[in-house]
Amino acid sequence: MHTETQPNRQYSASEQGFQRLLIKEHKDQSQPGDALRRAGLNLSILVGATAADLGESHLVDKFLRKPMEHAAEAAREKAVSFNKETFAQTHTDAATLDAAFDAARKKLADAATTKQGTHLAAEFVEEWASDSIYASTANSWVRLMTGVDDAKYVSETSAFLSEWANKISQVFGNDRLYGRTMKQGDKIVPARWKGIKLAYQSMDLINSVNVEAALRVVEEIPVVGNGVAWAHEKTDKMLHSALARIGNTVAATGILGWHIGKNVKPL
Amino acid sequence: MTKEAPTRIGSDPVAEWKKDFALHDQQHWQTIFQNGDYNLYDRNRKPVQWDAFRDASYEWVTNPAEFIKNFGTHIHNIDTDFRGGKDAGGAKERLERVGAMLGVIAAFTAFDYVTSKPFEGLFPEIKDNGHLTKEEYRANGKNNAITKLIEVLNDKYATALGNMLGERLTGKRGFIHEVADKGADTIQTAYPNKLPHSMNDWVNGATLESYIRIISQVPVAGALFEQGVTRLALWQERTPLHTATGKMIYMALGVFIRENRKAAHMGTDEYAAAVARMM
Repeated sequence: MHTETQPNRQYSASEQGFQRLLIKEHKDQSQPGDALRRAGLNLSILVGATAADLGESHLVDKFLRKPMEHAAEAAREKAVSFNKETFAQTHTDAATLDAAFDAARKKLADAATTKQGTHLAAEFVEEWASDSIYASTANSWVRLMTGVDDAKYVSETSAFLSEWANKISQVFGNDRLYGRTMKQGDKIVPARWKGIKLAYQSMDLINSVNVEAALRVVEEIPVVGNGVAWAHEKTDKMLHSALARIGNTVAATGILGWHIGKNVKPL
Repeated sequence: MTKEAPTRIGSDPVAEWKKDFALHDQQHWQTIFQNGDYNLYDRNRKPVQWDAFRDASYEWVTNPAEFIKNFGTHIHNIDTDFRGGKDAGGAKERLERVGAMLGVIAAFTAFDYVTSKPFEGLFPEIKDNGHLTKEEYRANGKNNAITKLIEVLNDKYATALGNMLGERLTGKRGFIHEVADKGADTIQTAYPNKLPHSMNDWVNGATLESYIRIISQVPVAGALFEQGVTRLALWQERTPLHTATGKMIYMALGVFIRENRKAAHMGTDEYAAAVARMM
């Protein structure tokens, strides 16, 4: 990541201040108290990005997950309840009844499986799109605050970690809800409080911005933080290579296809 | 021999004073109407600036106590920056502007009302209950055409008179701009007399422009709103949207909203009552 300040550009005092607080390469210019300021600033970003993600999940539930779930369920119900007796009432030609019925049933079954697959893919795509928006918003904000054109907030490591944490949770964790409580020995999803969900899927909690913010907060801890910062820098460099990028894209697409193939049950 | 033009031997102090006074008065009204030298819709106006926001953010991070102490100054600076460096003044100036705009709204809402309501009685529509005679349909044709003409005319006059008032007070043209002028067409079409919540006599170019300028006085949020409206107005000015074609598009948008409002009201008591009134 190239974040050199431009030689001919006169930066204001606040731009230079934010460069010290937000651009890692400028950390060596730190002033007394900057470590605490960095920790506070990143903690605020962590809270803000998590709150935004949790809030977004309510909109996604309303406008994407629930409608698509209902559509897939309705299509499945329609295909399952389709029978020859009902079909024969409208298709009166006995000679072609069997062939026509099979064709009609196949059409309904295909429609149901397509809806299931679309639903699963849409969740992946929505998560990828919303996380990309968070990352680009954070990067734009850093550029605005520091005045450095190519400055970034989200590192390769955070993008990788958040992307795969969400994918693993979706694919292998069966979209488990975090925040469930025990009631009479059973784990239950708590009822909403004033319309606000009390249990969330991991993808509603984790995004590249809050992962980056969390890493940056940890990096401010003496000794331990230095180790984390070292590892962070190494993985950034590793993930920055073309091979890693292509491999990541192939793996992400592959796991999406595998997930859909495994979960869509042909009727 | 050509007669020489008379030479000016001295100025009339009273006339000069009157001229100065008139100019001073116009300058004052220009700040209130944000016209002329203080034109809102200035082509060279800078977009949103972020320097004050950055400075305030940095102070918040580094010295919260100082930030709280300077809170008012920060808000004022951010507001000015968001307006592209155009200082909208302090609370007194903004309130004076709101007062003046409320005056314009009161005057032109009243104008709209008194120039349309009496004619509704003079040229009434015979409600269509499905059994109208040919003569009744023809009478409706005449009366509705006149009513429509009056509705359009009084709005155009309200916009023209609003502009004339602005020019009279400030000495400069350009008080009512594209967004208010065309936006009024959309709102009137979408909220006509025949549906509940009619906006017909409430909105015209002059009143809508005044409402826009009142909202713009709100610190920070109003600054962003003002920038948005200005950019939209200047963009409209450069596109065919400010022509008759644009007017059609705005009215078509109004028709789209109106028909969807009809659908939304269908089945509710309010709409049933409105339909009953029409029958």
